Amino acid sequence: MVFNTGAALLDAIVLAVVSMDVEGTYGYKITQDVRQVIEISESTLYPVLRRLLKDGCLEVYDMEYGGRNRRYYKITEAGSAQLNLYISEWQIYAAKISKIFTGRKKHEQN
Amino acid sequence: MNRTEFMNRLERLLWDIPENERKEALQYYNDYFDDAGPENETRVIKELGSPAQVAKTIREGMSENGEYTECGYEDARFRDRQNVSADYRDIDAEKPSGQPHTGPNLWKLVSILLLCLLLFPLLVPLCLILIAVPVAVLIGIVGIVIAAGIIAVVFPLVGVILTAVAFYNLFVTPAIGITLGGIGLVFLSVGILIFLLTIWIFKTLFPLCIRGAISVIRFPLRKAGIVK
Repeated sequence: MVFNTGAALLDAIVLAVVSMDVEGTYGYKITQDVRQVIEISESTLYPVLRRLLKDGCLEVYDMEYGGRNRRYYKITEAGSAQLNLYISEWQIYAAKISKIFTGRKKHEQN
Repeated sequence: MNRTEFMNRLERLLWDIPENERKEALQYYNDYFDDAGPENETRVIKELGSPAQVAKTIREGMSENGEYTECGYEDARFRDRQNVSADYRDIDAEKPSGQPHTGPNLWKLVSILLLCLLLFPLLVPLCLILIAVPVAVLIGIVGIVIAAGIIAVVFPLVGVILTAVAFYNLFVTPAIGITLGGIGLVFLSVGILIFLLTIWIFKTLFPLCIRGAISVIRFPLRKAGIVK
């Protein structure tokens, strides 16, 4: 990908991915889902999840799956609020960028 | 490397972080392998890179203590992308951050200082030895080379003189003449051999030694990633 994903955007993407599952989701699935949209290495997500957990944006619980305990990540209320903030910020940001891009196009046509 | 080896190595690399942090990280990667399934084991290991890299990411995630050390955090994840613009970092900088980390870093600094102080009496002679031994070896080699050079010149000379004396004696007392002649020729041949050996040392062995020494010095630098 040409564009970099900053720390804030990565946080937002991870929060959005986790929030899609009401019951919560697990590390491997989060990584795979995030990798659908941005290029990151598999080891990148652990520090991000750990920090979001520490900041209270996510919570974890263990549930049995296939004879073992699997750790599930779930978005908290604080996390949802943070995600909403990110989304509105992103919309403003994306709109500005798009405006410049399309504005340039019109300029060329004239 | 298989999964068990990978996890064992990762555990060993994380020996010095708090136990709960280590447990969390190891559980995460154990889960990760479990969820990826045995059929994806090799792919996951390949994608994760080395256990050292994973350990480094975990450490970097911890060192920020809940907030970013902007560039460090960015670089850790996008190490191979050089086109990070300063503007993007500024966006991250706007994120609210917690308390600055003073505790662990201060302790680290103090313990490093203390260690240096304690090791000082040991370090000085060690450094001296490290300098003295190569110097001594070098002087020894130079001495041997000089000696060989002298022998290479003197022996043939002695040989020639002895042969000349022997040639003269051959007509006076043939027995002494033949003996001296034999000794002279031995000197001459040994001298020529050493002469050739000296040339060989200069031509082959010397550059080889220097090249070897350079590669020995470069080895730790290359490991540290300073030199390619």
